[in-house]
This record gives sequence, C-alpha cells and structure tokens, in this order.
Amino acid sequence: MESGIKQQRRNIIEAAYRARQGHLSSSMSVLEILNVLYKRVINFNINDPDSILNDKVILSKGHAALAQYAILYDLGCITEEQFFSYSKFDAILGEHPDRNKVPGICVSTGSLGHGLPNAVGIAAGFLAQNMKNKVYVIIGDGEANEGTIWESAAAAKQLKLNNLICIADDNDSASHTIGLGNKFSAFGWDVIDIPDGHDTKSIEEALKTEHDNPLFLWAHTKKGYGFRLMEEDPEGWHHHVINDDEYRKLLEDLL
Amino acid sequence: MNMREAFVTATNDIINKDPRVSLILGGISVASFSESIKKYPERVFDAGIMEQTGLGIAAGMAITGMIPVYHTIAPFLAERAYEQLKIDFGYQKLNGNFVSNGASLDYSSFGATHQCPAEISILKQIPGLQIVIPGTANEFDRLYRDNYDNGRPTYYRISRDVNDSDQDVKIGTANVIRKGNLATIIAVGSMLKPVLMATEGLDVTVLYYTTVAPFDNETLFNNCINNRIMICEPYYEGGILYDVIQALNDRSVSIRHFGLPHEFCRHYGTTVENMSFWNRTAGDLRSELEIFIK
Repeated sequence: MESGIKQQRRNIIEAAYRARQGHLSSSMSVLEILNVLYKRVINFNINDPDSILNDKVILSKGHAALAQYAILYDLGCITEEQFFSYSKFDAILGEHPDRNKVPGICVSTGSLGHGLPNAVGIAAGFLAQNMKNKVYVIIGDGEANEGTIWESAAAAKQLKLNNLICIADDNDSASHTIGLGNKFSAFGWDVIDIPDGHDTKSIEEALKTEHDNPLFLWAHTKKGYGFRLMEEDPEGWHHHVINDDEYRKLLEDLL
Repeated sequence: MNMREAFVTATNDIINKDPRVSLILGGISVASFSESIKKYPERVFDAGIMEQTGLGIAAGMAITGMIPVYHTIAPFLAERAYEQLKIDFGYQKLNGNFVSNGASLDYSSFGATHQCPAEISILKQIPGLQIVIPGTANEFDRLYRDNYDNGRPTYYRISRDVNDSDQDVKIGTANVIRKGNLATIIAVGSMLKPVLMATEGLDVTVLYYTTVAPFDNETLFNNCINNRIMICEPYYEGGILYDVIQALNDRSVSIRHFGLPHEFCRHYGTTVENMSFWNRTAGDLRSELEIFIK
C-alpha cells in the first residue's frame, strides 16, 4: 500500500503542477485514510463505482478532491487522461468533486458542512430500505466549525445510524475547534482516537471496530504530509500554484 | 379543508402507499403525522429545528433512491436553508419536495422573522427548481399528488389565503381564465381571488399561474393582445418580471406590478389589515387597473 500511496502523491503533484492549481496540503493529509478505506475496508465494485450496493465514501472536505481522484485513478475508475485533465475546461475533475461527472463520487462537496448531513441521509436511506451498506464520511477539523456538523451529530444519534462512520482529518486547520472526540462522544457517538492519522495499521484497526452507535474516528494528521515544503508552510500550500523550482523539490522528496 | 390540511392528508396517503417516500419535519406539524412517525420511524421523523441539516438529510435520502418531502415554515426552509436547496438539490440534480407553510403574511402577528415575501425571487435563481404556488387546497392536492415523484426538486408554497374556486391546474401550464382586449392580468396563486373581483366587467384577459418555475411563456405570449400587462403576485412584486419580459420576446410592453412592496412588515394584526395598509386590496387593484387601461 505504501508504494501506491507514494505514486498517488506523485500523481497529485503532477496534476496540480500541470493545472497550475490545487488544494495540495489538505489532499496530502487525508491520503492514508482514503487508501485504507478503499483498499482494505469498504465493499466497492471498481467495475461499477456508482452502484447503489457499494459502501459510500463522501469527502465532506471536498477541497481535498485531488486525493480522492488519485485513489480512484489508482483503482482504475478514472482514466489517466481524465486524471491529468484535472481542472481543464471540459474535464470531469474539478477542484471540488461533482457527483454528476465523476465515477464513484456520490455527493458533490465543496461548500463545507454539506457532506456530513448528506451522509446522514444516505445512511438513513440505506436503513429505511433494509440495505446493509455502510457510509464513510470524511470531515476536516476546520469544517467542524460549521453548525451543520453538530446538527448532523445529533441527528445521526437520533436516527440510530450504526451504519455511519465519520472520520475527522484533523490537520490543525481550525482556529478554534478543539476536542472533537469529546464533542462527538457527548452527542452519543462511539469515538476512537487515532494519534497518528498516517499510520495505516491503526486507521484500519479503528475502521474495523464494531460499533452500535454512529462511529467517530478522530485522526490526527499533518497538513502537507510527505513533503517538507508543505509541512513547513501548510497554510501557504492550502491552495497553491507550483512553480518549476518547487516542482523539482517536491519530486525529490518522493525519492 | 385548508391547504395545510390538504398537505397533511396527501402526505400521509403517499407515505402509506409508496415506501420510497420519506417525510422530514422541521419541528412543525409533528402531531399531524404522529401515526406515520410511529408506523415508519425510519423514514418519517421530526429532524427538529435544524433546517439546513434537515434538508441535507433529505438530499442524502434522495441519493439512495427515496423521495423526500421536507416541511417547515417558509423563511426557515427557503431562506435559512437556501444553500441546501441550491447545492444539495439544484446542483446535485436530486429529487425532493419542499412544502413551506406561512407564505408571505400568514404569520402577520409574529413579526418579519416568520414572514416570507422574498422567497420566490431567490428560489427562482436556482436552475431546475420547480416552484408551485397553488391557489386552493384542492389545487395543492392535485399538483402535489401528480408531481411528488417527478424526479425533480419542487417547492410548494402553502398559504392561508385561497381563491373561491378551483381551476383545472397542471404543473408548468398557466390557465386562461378570461379573454379580453384592453390588458392582460397575470394572477399568481391566491391573487386570483382579488383579480377576479377587481376585473369584474372589465374587458381584460386574466391568466392564472400556479407554477412560476418553469414559467409558461407560451400562454402569456399567445394572450398578450395590446401589450399592457399587470402582474399580480402574493409576495414581493417583481418575482416573475424576468420571465414575463423573456416570454414576450423583445415586444415593447407596458408593465404594472401589484404585489407586496419591498418592505418589512412592521405591523402585527391580520393579513387583511396589512394589505389595506399597503393599499393592496381588490378595490385598490380595481382603481389601478382603471387608470392602466384608460
């Protein structure tokens, strides 16, 4: 899995360099979480990525779309041409994911605080139709400032959504949202703390934990993980145009 | 039966007959659905006072193939949760039924917090959203039952004000109520009642619109004889002005408005008292029309 993740990091840099834009540091913090989900946890038919029978992965922090595109490309759901056309006029991949264009994307995110409520509805819809699918939704710690995150936390417990797993990619973006785990716990969720959100083993273990309530995984990650330039200036790389010198240095980091 | 009762009856019916229907309440009308809530707790529930998340949940249910109905008071549905209507349903191209209560001034004594004369203008900015403004309980019943499963996002505006009689309404199609020569009067929803009172004996055309999005351009184009148009709307005036201009395709027309003025309602009392204060009675309309067609 590690070499696959490294290749995805290379692909993300390449696509963003060519497009002259991209939310880079946020994409890097969530990559291990996405890889464990798609490769070790969820039921996902790569030949029918939009099947209603698949487990669903919703990137509520939609600005990290490049990370989800990278794994969908790795899995073969997105072609090479589609991936490297990122952000072009007639591309299927924009800076935020569009459910009507991208295979395997079921919620169009971008405006923060929408993915989790939609995920609650999807989980409720599955239960109402006696479907066994699970719904995995990834929020950011900055996004957790949105009121809809906490409205959803209350609603998910009320609706007894034991098929819903929310993972926080807590990469220290928020200026004032602290103690996410305690907060979700107070809303009645089962909570697991993942001190190293880049450690694939502990992510997998947490994701496979049995739970009666909706499950919250608090993954502590590093914005820009994998690249010294980004880790040293995570906010400067939140949305960034990569110049030639930076491009060279970023690729060196991957050697 | 008033329009809200028609909504309750029709919704309980479709919940019972169609397992794909999900009703999500925003903290109102809960008692009216208590049996359905007990019978189908997994798809009929009160999400409570969280309109944005309530609509977000409804969108998620639509993604799984269900048909969500979301219901609460108009400003909290259309204005507070506007971005959910825009993105979760409009941009994502999802089906859903949004049934608001209160219209412009039904909550006249509550203050402007509960009043919603502006929502039609803003909802019309969401591409693909259907907007239905029935004029009677029976019209609501027909439009809602015929269209709850039409695969599109649709906003229904329930109002306490109603017309005296039902028209043969169909979504997306305007009704020609009367044909005349001196002007074309457009009555939206419950404005048909004052329009019929005000136009008695006048040689004018009366068109009745219960759907304002999509707008029936053809009926207006074919029934605009002398280029005088009076638009009568039960919300802030100007809501369908763009459509009227588009429908007439560059024709030179004279347009008058008769709807709520762009002001906060600063009084309490009844709807009738407030409409009188603003000179928006059937008598006022008659006076304006007589000058207009002279």
